[in-house]
Amino acid sequence: MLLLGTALLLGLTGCGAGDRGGKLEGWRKDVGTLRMGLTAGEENSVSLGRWRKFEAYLGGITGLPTQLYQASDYNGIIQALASGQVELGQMGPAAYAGADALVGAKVAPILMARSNDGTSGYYSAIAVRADSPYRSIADLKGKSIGYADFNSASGYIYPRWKLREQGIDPETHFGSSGISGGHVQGVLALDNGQFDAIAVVASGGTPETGFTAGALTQLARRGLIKREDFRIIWAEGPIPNSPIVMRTDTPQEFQDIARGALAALPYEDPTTWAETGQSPGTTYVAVTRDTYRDVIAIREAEIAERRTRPAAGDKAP
Amino acid sequence: MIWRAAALLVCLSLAPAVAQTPGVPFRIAVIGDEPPGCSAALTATRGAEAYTGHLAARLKQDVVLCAFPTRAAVAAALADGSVDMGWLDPAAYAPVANKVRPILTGREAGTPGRSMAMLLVAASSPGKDLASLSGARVLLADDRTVGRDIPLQALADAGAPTDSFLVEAALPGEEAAAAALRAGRGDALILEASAWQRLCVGDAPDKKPCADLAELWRGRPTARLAIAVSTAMPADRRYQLVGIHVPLHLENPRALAWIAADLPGTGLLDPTEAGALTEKAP
Repeated sequence: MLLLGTALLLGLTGCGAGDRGGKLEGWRKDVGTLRMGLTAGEENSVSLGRWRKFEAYLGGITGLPTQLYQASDYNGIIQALASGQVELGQMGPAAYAGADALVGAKVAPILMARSNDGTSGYYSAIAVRADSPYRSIADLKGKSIGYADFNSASGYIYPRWKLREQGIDPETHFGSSGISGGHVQGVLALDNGQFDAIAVVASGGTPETGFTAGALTQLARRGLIKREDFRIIWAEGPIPNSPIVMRTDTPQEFQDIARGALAALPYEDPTTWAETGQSPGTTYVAVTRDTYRDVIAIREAEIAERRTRPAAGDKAP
Repeated sequence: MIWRAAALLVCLSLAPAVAQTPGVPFRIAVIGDEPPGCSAALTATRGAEAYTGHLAARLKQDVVLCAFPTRAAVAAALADGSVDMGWLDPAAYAPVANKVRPILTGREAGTPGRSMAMLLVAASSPGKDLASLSGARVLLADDRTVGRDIPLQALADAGAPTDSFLVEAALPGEEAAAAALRAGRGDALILEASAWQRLCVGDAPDKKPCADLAELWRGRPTARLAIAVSTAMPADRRYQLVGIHVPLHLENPRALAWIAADLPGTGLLDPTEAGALTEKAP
């Protein structure tokens, strides 16, 4: 089991195997069990428990025993998908780029969320505490920044790339940086003063309209933080929404039925759809690797840049 | 997997058959002047090779077109199992609504399609249904199609007296529009769902920003045309068809182009809810 950290097994549904007297046939026999890995999406952090009905929905339609797993970090889902330990994965765009880099065409993005107003992207935001004096990136010169995860688009790769585009070298502008382990962890770390700023996901809107989703909003809705205690001082995007990614070496019937079941969910069962953290009116649209070509290129550029840096021990204090 | 294209140069019986029975082709209804019935020749005369070939490969089943003179005839054939899939409009769908359901609608790429909207009134408003909105001063937060035309169409489809609405230019955003509603400068507020999310979903457990407003209605426009199947079709087959068609514009644009000829304005296909073709009585 390559899912790092705790893998929460939600258990089998009563579908599929039970309906066929426990015997799978044809392509179902080839697949065996539908295993789907989640990192709860970059732009949509919802606890795994709220995915129970989704698990039952997917299993009922495919006729397969279905298991959902939540990886503890982005690399967990990348490795699980790349190694074939799961057939489906919901992951951030940069995580998909990571899987693509590992196994190429053996994985493919198939769907991503599209908001009711037709937008299908989210933003990388740099947030600070509202009681801090920081109101711009310039104010963060020499300060500490927390990134979510090396494989996070909004929480690492994209803001670093965009800052460079804006003439700011994140390696020299900030005094120090660290990896918090995730967007939720990053917000909590900012809250307790571990960083002066964090790169974090912001979604459900634009810098002009304001954001209704993302780590800050989700944690505030759970009562873990107060939204007004934080301030977004920089937001760039949009980044294409997180894809559902599928192993392409699965039977075509499975791929079509699973994609159809997922795409139809917002229409067939809006309640279950909402419980996965999606807003009313949001639906899925088909995507391909081409949708994420910019993220793939940005990730490759970040890796190339990282290779040119001197080792940490060589830096002058 | 073998499909015998040459052997399909016959008019197949229109007797009901199970689409997934080995040797039985998947039958798609088309409307035209051709002699009624299913014929492999229709694929060529209709230029449907790209589409039927794509579908046949995915279904692992022969695909044949079947000609009908009207959408009502298509609806009847779907209901009695004579065909497996066809395009219906609400009028053709209504008589067979208990045996047929829509599964896909067409949308122009880059457009909102059948987006969702909500209609809010003051919680203290006496009106409790759409009929009570006759002559209402309706506020908008967005002059774009998604914030104005689509919601108004959806409300009309739901039986609201939209012809009597007094609708002015949109206010600059949902906060301004909600303030106007609260100040009594309007009787109802239309919001597309993303705007509703921004306005009404609070950022704290105890925050209910729209507690003083009542949601009178939410919905999507009725579909003008939809791809439909029999409700007797096994669910996995129905979802398989959805899964094949949703990426069709990416995987086989020529195939999608053939469908677009029957679904004007179709740049891609979206799934749809079972009630998408149902016209609501006023």
